[in-house]
Amino acid sequence: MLHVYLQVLVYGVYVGSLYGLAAVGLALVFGVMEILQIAHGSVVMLGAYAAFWFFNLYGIDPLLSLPLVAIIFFLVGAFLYRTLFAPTTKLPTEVKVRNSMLLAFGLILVLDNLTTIAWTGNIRTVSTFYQGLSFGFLGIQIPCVGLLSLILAALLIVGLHLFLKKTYLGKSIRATAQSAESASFTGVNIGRTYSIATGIATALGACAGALVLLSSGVDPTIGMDWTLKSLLVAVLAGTGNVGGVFVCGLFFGVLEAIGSIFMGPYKEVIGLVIFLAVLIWRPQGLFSKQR
Amino acid sequence: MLRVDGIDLSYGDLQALWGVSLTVNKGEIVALIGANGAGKSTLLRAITGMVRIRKGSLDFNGVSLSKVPTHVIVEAGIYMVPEGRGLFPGMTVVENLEMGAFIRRAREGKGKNLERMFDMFPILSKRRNQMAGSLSGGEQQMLAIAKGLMSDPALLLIDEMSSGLSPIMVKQMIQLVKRIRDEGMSILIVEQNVFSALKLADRGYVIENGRIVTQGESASLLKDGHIKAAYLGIT
Ligand SMILES: Nc1ncnc2c1ncn2[C@@H]1O[C@H](COP(=O)(O)OP(=O)(O)OP(=O)(O)O)[C@@H](O)[C@H]1O
Ligand SMILES: [Mg+2]
Repeated sequence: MLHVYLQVLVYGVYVGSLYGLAAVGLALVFGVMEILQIAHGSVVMLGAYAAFWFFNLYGIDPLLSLPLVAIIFFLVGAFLYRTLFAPTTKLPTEVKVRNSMLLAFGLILVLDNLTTIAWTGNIRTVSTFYQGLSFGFLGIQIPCVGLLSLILAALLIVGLHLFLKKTYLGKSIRATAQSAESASFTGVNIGRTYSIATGIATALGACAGALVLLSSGVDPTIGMDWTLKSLLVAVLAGTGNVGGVFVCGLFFGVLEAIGSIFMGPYKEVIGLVIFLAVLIWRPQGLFSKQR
Repeated sequence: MLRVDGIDLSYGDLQALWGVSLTVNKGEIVALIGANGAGKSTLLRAITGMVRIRKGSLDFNGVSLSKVPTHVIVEAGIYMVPEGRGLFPGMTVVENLEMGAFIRRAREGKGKNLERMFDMFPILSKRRNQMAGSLSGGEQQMLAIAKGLMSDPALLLIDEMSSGLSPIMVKQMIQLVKRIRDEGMSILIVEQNVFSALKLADRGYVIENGRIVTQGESASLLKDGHIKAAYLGIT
């Protein structure tokens, strides 16, 4: 019986690492500009499609096309910021949150429907040699894709953390998050910083999508689910701390996996109940220091 | 070096500056004094491009600033310590100082300047890894000024220099401002304490309801009857 639990735990950690990776992008955009980018799940979906087409048309393995997908979606994110979200940044916080959310909602409709029109509603999958592989460890099976996803997601998160802590550009993003006005007084170009932050967040979401493709494939409807999961995880963690968001993602994945043993199809409820409990008990999020 | 010439500025329907002119020359300390709501901060924000002027001109070393974004103005050598200090409370003292040296020109000298700031403000050295938000008011003000100096500005604007500082700290600040002026920097200060501001400055401007009403050498302003009555409480 213990094996079953351990097996479920492994699965939960694996799915959770993807939740964490996806949520970090949403948390970054919200933390830096107070823009609620609820189309982030659609970005995950499109990232998966991008990896699919690289595989399907050019035979590039999703793990190898990851840097390409990241670069493309960095640019997509910067473009979305410039064209769609930039006008909202001058608004007072409450209006900004609401308007950006409405804009992003429109974006969801456009992206999801265009995807269906362009590439049909069929589920798309890739098959690589390592997807079937797994290795036994203490009597449990660890899927190769799961381990790779966890490692890649963790590397991306550590990379983001170091970037934000150590580089001038990263520090300027954190400074802008605390006060855009004070940052501009030190010579930071706020518009550029916002574009870069949105670009990074979008690239991370797309990378999560490419990993999702490996595990479960993609169809045009998965976006909403990823938005919901990202939102839950980001709110649970609070937006101030990249590592915290990732840990929360893992936690959430494990919880959902365990829940599926006891509650089967109602496992989604568990997440929502915890979500409510955290909102009541610690409305600033589990890992948030201030705000 | 800085020339503000006949600027008008409005917040919506409310006009806050009316034909304001002011100059700051190289190596000069200039004080801007006026009652609450007179438009002092507004003028500083106009100089740094945070609010747009409607009429008149702003230029710095012969380059027009009227349509230039704030970050370019900072690159050009004007640094403002705003009201409320403009610190990043969730970043450490060192990180705040590093952000002070964000502009390209200042990055090279960052290491040297950091040491200089820690010499000038030993207390900041002791607190270097503490969050800026957890410093005392006086320490925060020191950090705000030190952060400004990290950018090697040609002109430093300081809004409400002595707010929240003890009399001893105010004296230290005044010494400091003199010292950085002697290094060739120009300084424009806004100060509630009119007497000490005029003692410190070479020249002063008095602003009332968005208009410059008096200007001149500090020594003569200190003798001015209107200023004595309105700002120094001497009759
Ligand atoms: N963002 C704003 N929107 C609308 N009106 C403003 C704004 N900022 C300032 N004002 C108005 O402009 C006028 C000048 O304000 P300003 O802040 O420049 O005064 P000040 O001289 O710096 O005062 P204090 O000594 O209190 O700091 C005031 O009447 C103020 O109400
Ligand atoms: Mg003011």
